[in-house]
Amino acid sequence: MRSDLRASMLLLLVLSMGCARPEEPGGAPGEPAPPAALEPAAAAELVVEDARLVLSPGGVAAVYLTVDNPTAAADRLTAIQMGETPVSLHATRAEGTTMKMEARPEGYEIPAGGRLELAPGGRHGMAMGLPAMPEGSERVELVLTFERAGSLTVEARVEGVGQAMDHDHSP
Amino acid sequence: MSWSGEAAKVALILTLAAGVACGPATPVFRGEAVEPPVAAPELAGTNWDGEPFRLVDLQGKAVVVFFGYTYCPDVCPLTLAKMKQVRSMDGLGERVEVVFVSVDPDRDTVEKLAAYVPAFDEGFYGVRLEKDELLELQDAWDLTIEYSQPKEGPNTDSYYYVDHTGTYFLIDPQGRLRVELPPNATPETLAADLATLLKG
Repeated sequence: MRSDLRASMLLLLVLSMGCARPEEPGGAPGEPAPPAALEPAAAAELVVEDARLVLSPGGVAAVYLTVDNPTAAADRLTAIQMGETPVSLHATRAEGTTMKMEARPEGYEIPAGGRLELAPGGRHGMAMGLPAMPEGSERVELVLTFERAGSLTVEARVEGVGQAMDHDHSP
Repeated sequence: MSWSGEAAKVALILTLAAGVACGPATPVFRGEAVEPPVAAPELAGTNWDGEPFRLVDLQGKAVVVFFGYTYCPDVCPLTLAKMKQVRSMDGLGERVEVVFVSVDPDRDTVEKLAAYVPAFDEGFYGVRLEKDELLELQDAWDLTIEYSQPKEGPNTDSYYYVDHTGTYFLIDPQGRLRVELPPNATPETLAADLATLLKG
């Protein structure tokens, strides 16, 4: 009964998100990254995995993913865009027992040979307002912008909060 | 005579030892125990279904109280999902009540809470207090609630963060505050302490 209700709520959320399709950005897969990028080919060398858009019934959504950087140069994730919806970069931080939310407009570094992890209870992307997704969508396109590598379009799974629990890395 | 005197001594020692071993044991919690237990501070507002809510009305059950807001994308929904998981463990179910109190009454209307809280579990309470009532709770519950406008993002009145205490407050069936657990407490830890509370 309750899982039926949750499924219905999720469906309602998805339905209410409208049918706007994400705009195709300049840095779609297979296309060269914008000229500003220092290493246009580097986008292909960054490996983005486990990208997820986790919908909250509160009308906000969190983005979680990992980026591996096997190159010899550090890079920085500076922006995430979902169609016309900007996804701001945030971090949840515990100060004693107080949970603080902090904006991180400067983005996150991905060390050379290292990994960046956006995970529940820590660094994450936040989409305010309902993200624009095709009706009944199970996946959305996210455009990630990197300082060196330029833009990279990835597919993110759309999940409810319960599924995100399976990946909870909170401190 | 002397035998029965010795026997009496032994019997007395055994009785004392049994009293120590079998007397009322102090429960051991994984979280921080509130010693001595105190009556939980008053908490009253409006539930997501529009009905008046009073914490004192939940006596007879173990209660978890925590604070959050619906515009929080990361920790708050995970906390509610975690509580749903806890309720499914160790046969806790209906013996435990879950109370989510909004720290953001300006944006979290009762209607907003009605679209949010029962999406996790219809049995959860989602309580809204008027802002002055909420701020009056701060001392009694030892709460931090701070509103901040981020430098980036849309510069509107409705875009702000609320830093808030993430503690889980566990209240026993007698209405006493017994245990406080940190925001990163696992579902297993919460379930274990609730089960201990219910054993009395």
